[in-house]
Amino acid sequence: MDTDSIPNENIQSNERFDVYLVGNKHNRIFAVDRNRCKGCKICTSICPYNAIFMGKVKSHRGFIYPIENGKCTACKQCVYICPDFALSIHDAADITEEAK
Amino acid sequence: MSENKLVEEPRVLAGPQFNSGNFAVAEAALFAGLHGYFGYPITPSTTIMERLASRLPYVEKPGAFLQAEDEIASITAVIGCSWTRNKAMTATSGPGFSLMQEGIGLATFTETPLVVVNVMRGGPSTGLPTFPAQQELMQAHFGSHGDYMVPTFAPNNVQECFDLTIEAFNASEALRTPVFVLTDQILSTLKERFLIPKKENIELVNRSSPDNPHITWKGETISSNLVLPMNCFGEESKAFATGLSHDDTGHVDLSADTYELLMNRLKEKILTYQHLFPKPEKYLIDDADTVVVAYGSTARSAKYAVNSARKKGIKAGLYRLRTIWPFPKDDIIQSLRGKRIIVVEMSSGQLIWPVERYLKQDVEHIGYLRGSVPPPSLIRKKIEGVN
Amino acid sequence: MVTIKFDLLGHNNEVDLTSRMLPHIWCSGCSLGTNVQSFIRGAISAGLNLDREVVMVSGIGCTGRASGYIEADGFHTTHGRAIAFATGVKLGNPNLEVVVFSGDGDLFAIGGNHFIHAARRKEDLTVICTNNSTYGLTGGQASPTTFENTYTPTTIEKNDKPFDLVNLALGAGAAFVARYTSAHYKILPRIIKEALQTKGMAFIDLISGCPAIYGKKNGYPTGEIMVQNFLESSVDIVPDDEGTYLLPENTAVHFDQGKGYTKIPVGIFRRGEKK
Repeated sequence: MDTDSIPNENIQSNERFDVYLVGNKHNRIFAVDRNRCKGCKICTSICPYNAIFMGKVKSHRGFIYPIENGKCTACKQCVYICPDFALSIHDAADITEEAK
Repeated sequence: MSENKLVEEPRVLAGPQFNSGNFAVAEAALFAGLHGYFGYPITPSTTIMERLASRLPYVEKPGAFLQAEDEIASITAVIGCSWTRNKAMTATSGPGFSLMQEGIGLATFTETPLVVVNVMRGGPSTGLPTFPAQQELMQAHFGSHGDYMVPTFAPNNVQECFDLTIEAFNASEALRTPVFVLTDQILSTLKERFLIPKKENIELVNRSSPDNPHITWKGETISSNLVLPMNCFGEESKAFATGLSHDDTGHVDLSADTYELLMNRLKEKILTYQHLFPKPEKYLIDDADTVVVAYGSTARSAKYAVNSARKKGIKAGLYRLRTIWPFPKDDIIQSLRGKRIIVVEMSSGQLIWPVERYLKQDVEHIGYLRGSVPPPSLIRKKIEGVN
Repeated sequence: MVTIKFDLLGHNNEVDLTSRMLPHIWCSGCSLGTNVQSFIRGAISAGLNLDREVVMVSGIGCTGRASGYIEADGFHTTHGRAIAFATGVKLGNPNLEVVVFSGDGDLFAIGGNHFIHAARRKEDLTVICTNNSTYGLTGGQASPTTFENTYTPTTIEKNDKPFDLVNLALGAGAAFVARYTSAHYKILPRIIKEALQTKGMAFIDLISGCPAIYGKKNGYPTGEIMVQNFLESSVDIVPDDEGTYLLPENTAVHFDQGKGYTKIPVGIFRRGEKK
């Protein structure tokens, strides 16, 4: 089975972002800005770990957008090349809070 | 550089002078605090450039001088220099003024204060480079594409070359707009006595800023709703501007509402403060039956003709425009409607257009195209009705 | 379970982007966004405060809009006049770091005169040319760097020989000349840092793509293929003492209709004095 195309279960979304918890300790997050992504697929071709694939659902702006499959190591290559400023990698600690 | 004999003492000159119109323009610019001059040599404006080349980098507060690769680069560099919160100008003539139209459109739309001195010569094309004409009156208003209005002042003697250049800098700073000074080849070389006043006797205006949004000019507070405080490069708040339609922050906004508001504001800010621009000279017009309307060096000849007609008992007068755009329509209607009007200009018919349009009456015309001011005798004969 | 604070999310360089202007107007797969990001990272690595010390000047067309997306002082000038405007800014306030970020059509067709003269005058500008060999915004017409035998709506039968921007800049007197592609996002910040710190005019020929129009007709129909094409056809120059790497036959970019780029010599062709 092609494990590359199984979405990461650690995902939270709002109307703009898809946020995945990634890394061995889930201490990084990979975020996709669906409002900015234009579906060019450059991120999927550049990713050294085959950690992203293009989904089939279109965003509200009419573009398909990338989905993370749990292999992301937060190396930031896709962030640097993304021409739409749609991808970002952050330390989870900066963006999250533990639920009580 | 002290060995360079062209370099005079590093002070703005003071007191009585005997020199040309172009000299007066250059000294006035220094007096007003010019920091950047970018130009391209073209007759008959070149002596302004030469004067500033030997002065601007060597005065007390040295400024930037550059002979650019063409007039398009000159005007665009002037806009760039102005956005560093510095006073900047260029001077040109005929073909150079045509090349600058693109930059002038950009400057009006991005509300950039700057001064362009156009020393008019005969056109079209290369035309009569060393002879005077007044053929850029309409170009000053309609030269660039799109709707806009640039305040346009026209001196007619060397003293006014000095005074109106300072007025031009003040207007440009107060209203965040380019301002034109239209002189002509005669004024550029004509030498007269003129007086450089004491610094404390002349008001100099500096543009508004986010810290100082309310500036005054001639005792009037300039509305910061009409003239937005200018953010400049390298300052605390972000400065951005574009030649595209934009909102108040300078960023692109192509919506209908924003564009309409912007266009209306740009027009409104000039028209609201037009009463602060130089007033027309009205010479013997109260009892006059016949009034000559003219501007620039043509008006010198017209005044002579009016005086000689008066000696013959003819009630003649002179209405000399010092601000051409915006056209002083209310004043001209009030002062001249119903009188016999003769428009005199060194053009086959440009000044006559607004005069006819606003007075809504027949207007006689002398359009003199012989590369010199129309001789007084010609104007006097027209006043007398002798052909 | 953790809760994401969505309002803290944004791009890693969000502070240096004008967020409210995004998403940008550029097409899917266009190199411009990558170039803007590489520039921002380069400026940060050069220790510049984008907000206060940098002025972004851009010309017209797709690339012209770049200045509006970067949170620095900026000006979007008319067609071709970016360098002329930047000249005025630099002379008006020499303390500012003035960057011209514009396209091949703007800088080398309508603004070609300004470029060669600014290089000749050794003006202290950093000129980054997003060279996509076409006029993108007006619909893919030929530019001065459009390759021979490629299709554009205005050159149906044949195209003339393109400018080799590297040799043009070397000849005009630029102090620093480099060429990379937008796919060199790893090394570009370092190159841009060096360009920003060079005295005199620094010029970067940043080979970029327009997959939506020019690429579609001529060999790289998507951004994905374009990036692979850049990486596969890039050849690092090998500087030698004789200077053979500077000969026109060794600096020219090659392109085949239908295949895309076949050879892109990349590297630093001239290094200048540091500020």
